[in-house]
Amino acid sequence: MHDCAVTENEIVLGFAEVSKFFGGLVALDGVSGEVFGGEILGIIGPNGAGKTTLFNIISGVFSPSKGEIGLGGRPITGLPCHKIAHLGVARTFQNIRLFREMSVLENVLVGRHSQASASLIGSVLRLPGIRAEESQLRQEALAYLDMVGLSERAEAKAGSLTTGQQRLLEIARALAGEPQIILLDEPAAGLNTRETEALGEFILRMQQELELTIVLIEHDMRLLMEVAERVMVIDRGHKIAEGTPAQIQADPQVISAYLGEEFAANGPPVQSTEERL
Amino acid sequence: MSAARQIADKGGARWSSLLRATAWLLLAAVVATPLLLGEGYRLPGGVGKNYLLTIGIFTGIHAIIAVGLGLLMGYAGQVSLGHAAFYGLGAYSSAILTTKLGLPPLLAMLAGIMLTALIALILGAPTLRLHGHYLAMFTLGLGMIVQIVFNQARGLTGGFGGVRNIPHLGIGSWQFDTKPEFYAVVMLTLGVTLLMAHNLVNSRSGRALRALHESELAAAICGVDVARSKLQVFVISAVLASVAGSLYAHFMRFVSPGPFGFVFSVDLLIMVVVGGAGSIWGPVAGAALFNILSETLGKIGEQVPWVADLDIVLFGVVLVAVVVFLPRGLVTLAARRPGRARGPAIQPEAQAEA
Repeated sequence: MHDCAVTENEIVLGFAEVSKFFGGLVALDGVSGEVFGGEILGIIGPNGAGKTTLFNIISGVFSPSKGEIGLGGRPITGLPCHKIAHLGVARTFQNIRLFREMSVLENVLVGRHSQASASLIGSVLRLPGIRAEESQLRQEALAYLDMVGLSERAEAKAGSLTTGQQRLLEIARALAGEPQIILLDEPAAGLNTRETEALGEFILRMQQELELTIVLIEHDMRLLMEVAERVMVIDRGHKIAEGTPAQIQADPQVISAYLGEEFAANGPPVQSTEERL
Repeated sequence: MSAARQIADKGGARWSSLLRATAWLLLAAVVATPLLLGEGYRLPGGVGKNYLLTIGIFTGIHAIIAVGLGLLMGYAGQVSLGHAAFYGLGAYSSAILTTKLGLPPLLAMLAGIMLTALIALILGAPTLRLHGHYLAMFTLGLGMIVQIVFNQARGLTGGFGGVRNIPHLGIGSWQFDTKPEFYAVVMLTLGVTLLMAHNLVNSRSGRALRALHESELAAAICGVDVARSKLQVFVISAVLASVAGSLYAHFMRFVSPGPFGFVFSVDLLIMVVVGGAGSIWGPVAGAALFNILSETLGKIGEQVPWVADLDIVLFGVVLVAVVVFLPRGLVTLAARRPGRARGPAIQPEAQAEA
């Protein structure tokens, strides 16, 4: 039933038969899938299964060894990162990659790079319009900081924030590029329970208020099952299952590969997910 | 933020604005001194107005190159071992075009800028797409090639003997043919260079550069064209070296291959690293220190000959000391505010994080 509701939306991102080899190592082996506009897709799987490799390929960090990626119906296979960013794909990193020596606000300003137009020559000569654009950028960047509750730390060095704040700042930086799709790579890693709950609420807000499409890699099953509408399971470079959180939690193959018997029995109750949807 | 910290910050802000005003006054005084000094007046060590002006002019010319190289090293994270070549290209362009074709100096300078920018573009476009320090090797090669051309293309460059009788710098009938005038021109050019560098660093492009210096991957994910940004700053730094070269040619009114070799490329690196690559003023301080030290040693060397040969040793020691104790250069001394020095309590989270 949910599948029907979801498939009515158009596909924003698709990947077909994507493989990635590092020398003899097969990181991804013919993975296909699609992401529908406005949905939250969860990706789970054991460590080293190829989840982050998939994000790296979608965001242009690596070219796939085989296969095609399409964004909004146009092929983006092999495009460099910055071009893919300009086309509306933003992401965060499992091991946070902030500009630690720059201020919190400046991090968001860099995230807004693709939304500004000041040229190098224009900036050097401080042509008219540059100052106006710069102050407008600052206002907008502050608004993104407000969204994640970090505007009071705007002038602090990014490296001085706590892990939880850094994760939020990385999301704010990604949002500042006004993407249509955002890839979150283990955003709850290193967060405490309270922070994780707040993050879950924020992810839902991003979907509803910013009308974003979200792909989420997460090991925190409670968070993932709460926010994701569909879940894709990757194991050893292969997609082994795809479906609603309820279907995934009941899938024997997923249980043996990743979730384990214990979680399937004691994990978040399936009903709560159903109720929310 | 705690109340105590707010008060500390406010005090710090007042301190820093006071310090800033003092620094600007001091700087203005230092720059004006050679101009205001009486002809016959002698500073300690027998240093007169003329001599001070000459040191000032060389410091200024070197500082213009160093600021550009500082942008390249401190903001784009790339090293050039061939900036003396760009300096030489500017100098020889001005020398040849004004003496052989009779071009006005400013036009010759512009031609030098275009030539240098073109060469930097051709050299940088393929290299800066690669990760790592390929640019250092390519510029090293460029330095050697340019040096060979200066020495061997005798019809054009005069070979070892160089180009003589380069006209004074001038705009139309306005000739900068006295030392104080030329000094003013150099300082003005340096001032404009600093202003433009300041604008660059505090702009969208400058932010992108600082970002990619910290993480090229994260910058690219934010939409920054990493290769293009590095290339832009490389071309800017080459152009600044070229402008400095043109000034040199019109000041000396004679160019020969000697000053544009590998040794000067290394001297420039020393100025930038000692002064501090990650700031705009660092390389200026580095250039000033370099020139003052080598002139002082030269002066002492007039009496005690072996002292003059100590410069390489001394620069080596200074370089090592700075790299070990002040890895961000001498400017970090100036940036240390009284409030900051009191303790690590200011950034408790940073400590915890680390």
